[in-house]
Amino acid sequence: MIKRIKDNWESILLAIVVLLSLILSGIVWANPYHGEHRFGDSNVGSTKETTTQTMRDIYLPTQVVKTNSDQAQYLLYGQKENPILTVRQVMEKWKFYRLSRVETGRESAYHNYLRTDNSLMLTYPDTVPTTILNDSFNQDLSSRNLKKINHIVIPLDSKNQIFLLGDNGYKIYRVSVKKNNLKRIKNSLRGGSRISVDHKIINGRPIMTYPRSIKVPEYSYQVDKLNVDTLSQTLMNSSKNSSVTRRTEGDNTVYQDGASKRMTYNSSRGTIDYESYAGKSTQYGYQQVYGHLYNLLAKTTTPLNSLRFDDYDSRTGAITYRSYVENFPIFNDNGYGTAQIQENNDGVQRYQISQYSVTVPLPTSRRKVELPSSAVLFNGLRASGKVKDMRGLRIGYQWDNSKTGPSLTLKPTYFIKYKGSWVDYTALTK
Amino acid sequence: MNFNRIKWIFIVAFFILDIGLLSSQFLGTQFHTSQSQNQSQVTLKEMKNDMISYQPLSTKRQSGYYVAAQEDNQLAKRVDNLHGQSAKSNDGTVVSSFNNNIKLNESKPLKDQLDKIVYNSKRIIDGNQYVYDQDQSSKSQIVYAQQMNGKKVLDHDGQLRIRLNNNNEVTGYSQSHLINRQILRSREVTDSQRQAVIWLYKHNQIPNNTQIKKVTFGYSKLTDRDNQIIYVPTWLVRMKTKGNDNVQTLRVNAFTGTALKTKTNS
Repeated sequence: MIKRIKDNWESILLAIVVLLSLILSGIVWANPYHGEHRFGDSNVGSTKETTTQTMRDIYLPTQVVKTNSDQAQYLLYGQKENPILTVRQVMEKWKFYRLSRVETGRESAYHNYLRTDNSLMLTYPDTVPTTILNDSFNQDLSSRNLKKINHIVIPLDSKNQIFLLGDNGYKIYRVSVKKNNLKRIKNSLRGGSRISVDHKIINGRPIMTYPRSIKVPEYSYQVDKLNVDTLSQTLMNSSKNSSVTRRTEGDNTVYQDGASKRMTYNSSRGTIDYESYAGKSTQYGYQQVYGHLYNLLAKTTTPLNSLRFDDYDSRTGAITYRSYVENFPIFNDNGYGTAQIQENNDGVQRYQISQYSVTVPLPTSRRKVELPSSAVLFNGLRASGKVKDMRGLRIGYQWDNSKTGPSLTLKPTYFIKYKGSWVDYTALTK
Repeated sequence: MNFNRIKWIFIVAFFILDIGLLSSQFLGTQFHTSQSQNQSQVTLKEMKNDMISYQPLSTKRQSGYYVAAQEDNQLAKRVDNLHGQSAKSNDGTVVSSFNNNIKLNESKPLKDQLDKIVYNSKRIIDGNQYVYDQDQSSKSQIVYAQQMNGKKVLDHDGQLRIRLNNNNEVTGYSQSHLINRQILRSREVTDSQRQAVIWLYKHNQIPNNTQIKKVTFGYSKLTDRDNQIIYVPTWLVRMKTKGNDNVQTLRVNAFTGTALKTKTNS
C-alpha cells in the first residue's frame, strides 16, 4: 500500500491540488459579494460616519402589500417585527441563482402580477437599479436584461421563486431561489394595522388605490435640529491654502471658500444649500449613480436614521432622501426632514439639506384621521380637470412649516404627484 | 514532452491557482464591509496603541424599538401585603428592610437563592417581572432588572436592588417598577457592539490606559414626556482605568450611535 503511494505520489499530489482548486472555486462562486468597484467609487465610506444607517438601510422598499388567495389586497403598517426589515434580513441569506424573463410589454399581464394571489409585495418609492437590489439583499443578479426594479413579489406558498417587476416597459422577471424559508417573514406580518387597497394602471403607471374610506393615525415626534456650524465645517472642509469667509444677509448666512465651494443657510426655512465646483467630471451610469450619491450624502455626516430613498430625477441627476414614519413619507414645503443630493456630469455638486428632522417617536393618543376612498378623490380630480396630470398617489404625512420644535404631531393625508411635485389632494380637488 | 513534465506543469499551475483563490478569500470579498472593516481595524489598532484593552467586540447589529413606559406610582400602596419587612415609599421607589436578615449559603449559587426571595410574592411585589442581572450587580448590591423585549433595563427605574451586608446576608432592597409599556415604532436595526465602542473612542470618551470590561445591550432612558419615560436600545460600556478599581460607565444610543447623557450613577 505504502509502495503504491510512493510510486504514484506525483499523481496523487496533482489530484489534491486540482481538488483543492475546485473546492475553493466553489466557495468563491457561492459567495455573492465580489467586485470592489461595483459603484465606480474607489474611495468609499466616510471616516466620519455618525450614524448607524448604511446604504443597505436607505435604499429599501417602503410599502408592503399582502395579497390573499382571493386577490384581496392589504397595505400593512405598524407591525412590530417590521416586515420590510425582516424580508431584508431573511432574503440576504437566500441564494438567487437564475434571473429569467417571464413577460414584458403587456399591461394586463403586469397588472395581474401586481395582484399575485397569496403573495407579499414590497414596493420601492421610485425605481431602483438592479445593483441596489443586489446590495441590499446580498445578491448578484445581472443588470443586463433587467435594469430597473419597482416591486419585489414573494409568493407565500413557497414555490422557490420570487418575481421582480419593473414598471417601465411592464417588465416581469422571475428569480429562482434556493433556501427560501418563509416562516420568519410570515410571522413578521402579525399585528399592526392594514388598509384595504387595490392596484390600477392609470396614465400608463401602476397606482395603488383605496377602494374604501380609511382611517390612519396621527403620529407625534420629537423635532431634532442640526447644528449648522458643525455641518458647515464638514461641508466646507477645505485645503490648507484656502480660507472660508462667512457673511450674513437677513435670513441667509453664506459660507464661501474661494470660487469652488459655497454653503447658504436660510434660517427662516431651515435649509442648507451647498454647491461645490471642485468635483471631477465623471459620467455615472444609472447602475452606479445611486451608490455614488449615497456616498456623497454619507460624507455630509447628516444623521440618516429616519431618511429613506424617495425619488430619483433623471433629468437633474438628483436623489431626494425623505423622512418616513411607519412606511409613510413626510412632506413639507420647506423640505423639512429631507436631503437632496445632486451631481451633474461636470462634477458640480448641489446639496439641499433640511436643518430639521424627526427621529424619536412620542406616545400619543394616535387619533385616527379619516380619508376618503380614492374614487372620491379621482372624482374631485376629474371635476377640476387635473386627473390626466396625476402621476402618483400615496398616503403621507404633512409637516407644517410652523412646527419646528420641540415636538410635533403629523397628520395623514393623500398626496398626489402632480406636475412633478407631491401635493396634498385637498389642494387639487377643490 | 513526456507525461511527467506535463504532470508537473499542471501541479505547479493548480498550486498557484490555489494560492490565488485562498488569498482572495482572506482579503475579503464584501464591498462595504471590507471598506468599513478596514477603517475599524485601523481604529482598533489605534486603541491598542493608546493602551486601551477590550474583549473581542462583535460586529453583529442588533435590533430594537423605541418604548414608552410609566413609573408605577401605586407600588407603595401594595406593600401592606408584604411580610417580614418594613417598607416605605420614596418618590415611586419602595425601600424595604427585612425584619430578619436572610443568610446566604456561600457554597450554593447566589442566583438560585436570591430567586427564591425575589419570586416570593410575600417578599417582593411583582418579583416575577424581574430577572437576575449579574453585570450590573456588585458584592453589596445585587440587581434584578425588568425587561423590554427580552433585553434588560439598564437604569435604576425598572430595577430591583437587593442589599447585602458584610456577612453575606440579605438586609433589604429598593424597588422601582415600570408599567404600561408601549412600543412606539416598529423594529429597526441598531449599531453593533464594536461601532458603539469605536464611536466613544473617536469622540475622546475613552481615556488612554483603560480596560473595557463589558459592553452590554439593553434599554435605557432617552427622555421623558408627560409622565412617560421613553426608552431606547443602548450599549452600556463598563470600563476602568488600569491599576484602579474605579468602574466608569458610558452609554451609547444604539439607534443613533451617539453617547447618551445620564444623570444617574451606576
